[in-house]
Amino acid sequence: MRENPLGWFCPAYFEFGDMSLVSNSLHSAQNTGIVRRFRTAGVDVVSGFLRHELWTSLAQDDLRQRYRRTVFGLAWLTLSYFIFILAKIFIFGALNPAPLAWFAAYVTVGFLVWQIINSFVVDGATSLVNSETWVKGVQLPYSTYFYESISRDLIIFGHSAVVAGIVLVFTGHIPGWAALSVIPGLLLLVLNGLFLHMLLGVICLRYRDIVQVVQTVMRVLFFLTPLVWTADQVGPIADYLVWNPFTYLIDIVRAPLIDNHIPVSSWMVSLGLTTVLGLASFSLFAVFRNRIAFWY
Amino acid sequence: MSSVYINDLCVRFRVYENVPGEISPDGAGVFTHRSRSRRWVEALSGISLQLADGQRLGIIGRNGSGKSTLLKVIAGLLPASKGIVNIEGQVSSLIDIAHGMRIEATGERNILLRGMIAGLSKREAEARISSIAAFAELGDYIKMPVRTYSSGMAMRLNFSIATAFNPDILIVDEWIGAGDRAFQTKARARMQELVDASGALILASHDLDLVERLADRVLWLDAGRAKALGNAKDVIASYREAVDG
Repeated sequence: MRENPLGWFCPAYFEFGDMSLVSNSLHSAQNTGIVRRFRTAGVDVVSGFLRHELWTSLAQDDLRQRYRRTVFGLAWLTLSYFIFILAKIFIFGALNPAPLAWFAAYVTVGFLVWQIINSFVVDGATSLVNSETWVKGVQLPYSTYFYESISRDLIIFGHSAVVAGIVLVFTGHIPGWAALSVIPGLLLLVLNGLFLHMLLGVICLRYRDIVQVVQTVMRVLFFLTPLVWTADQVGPIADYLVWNPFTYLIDIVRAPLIDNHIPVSSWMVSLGLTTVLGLASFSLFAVFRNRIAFWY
Repeated sequence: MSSVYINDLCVRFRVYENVPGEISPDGAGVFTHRSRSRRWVEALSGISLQLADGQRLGIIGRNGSGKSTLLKVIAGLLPASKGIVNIEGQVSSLIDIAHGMRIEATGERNILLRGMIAGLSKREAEARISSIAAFAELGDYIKMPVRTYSSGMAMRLNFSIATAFNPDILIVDEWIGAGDRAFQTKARARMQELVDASGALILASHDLDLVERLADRVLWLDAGRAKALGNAKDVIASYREAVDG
């Protein structure tokens, strides 16, 4: 078993430019102690993050490839979000008693946040499965593929966010002080994104059926989350909303932007959920990390 | 500075495919059972070897005997199921042409990405593009997506990248298909340069003449076990004897 010469857990080790030393220590014998497994998983997550130049480039390539030989390129992301949201506002706005200006902002921001959470879940499930040729071909921390997927989702998010910004201004929702809480809110979402990638990436690699389960569940959850309808619209069903974790994660970003207030209880629930998800996903990743290469 | 130390290495794959059968080809890894319902393939077992600076190891053996699996373990692409694997030095591997390439990206972009994978910063990798492109002799094809390349051209690019970032240990699997005759001469010279720069070379091949020329030590694998490990000439001679009868 290789000993890390700089001791326990030392990200500075990676700045020596000799990544292979690290990568090899990341791929050592399988039957090792639980402490060491958690340590190598930690090293994986940190060293993967330090390769930000690589995973941002990979993410850009992914998207460029998707819009290859189109005239508008990535502008399609903004355009299609705009058209999509416009249709939603007019159809569901007609059914909703709230003023149209408020409802338009509600749908646009809510759906923006839903879209990023949904892509964290769905892309998280396929992140390792789709990286097969890379895992088999080059030695990189597995977390590199998580960060690649997350930054790809964030680029898409950025293009849609332009539409949300325009709609907010257009409907008279000029951001107040509470809007500053959106920044930690989004950071919390991204952290959850990483955890979802770790959890679902590993599970779905081993049990490929779960990919389909995840996609189906997300499609159903779209209707069970207050996005195109409001809680006061659905009567007694609203009581069940407390069991939908996405309600809180969306609330912490949406409420400050459209109602200019910080939803403290949603923040508490979101922080609690993140902690639980973080512990569960990191443990799973640490314990099964060494088997990943065998599950392709 | 490079060294490879492997002691009592085992690699086994769980068989997820639900097909019956116990028979594996002659010389290939064998099925094992750890419980009634679960089958495994013992790809490598009890492998021990050591390699120091400037040593060149050849790996020979029949199809399925574990050559590529061993290369992947040394390259850090597969973890050991059991045993100790200790690799020091920057490893670069040429195991599969298709892996580690973005066929939709241009040749230049692939050089950049692989440079960053090898641990260079984006700027350092950018600075290397022109020299690597020149070595691969792809002309303006270097600005075209790799999917437009012939397989020989893709291999040339891959070889040029794999050897460009001064690896301490170069791992090559059946590289002999790399490009045309002219490029092969050049490739051999580059490999010699790397080995002379006191790096280690590990080469798996069925071309015994090539192995004899490039390697000073040879490991003969049979059904995942080391049948012989030693001086290149002797091991190859006994392998020839066993195969040709």
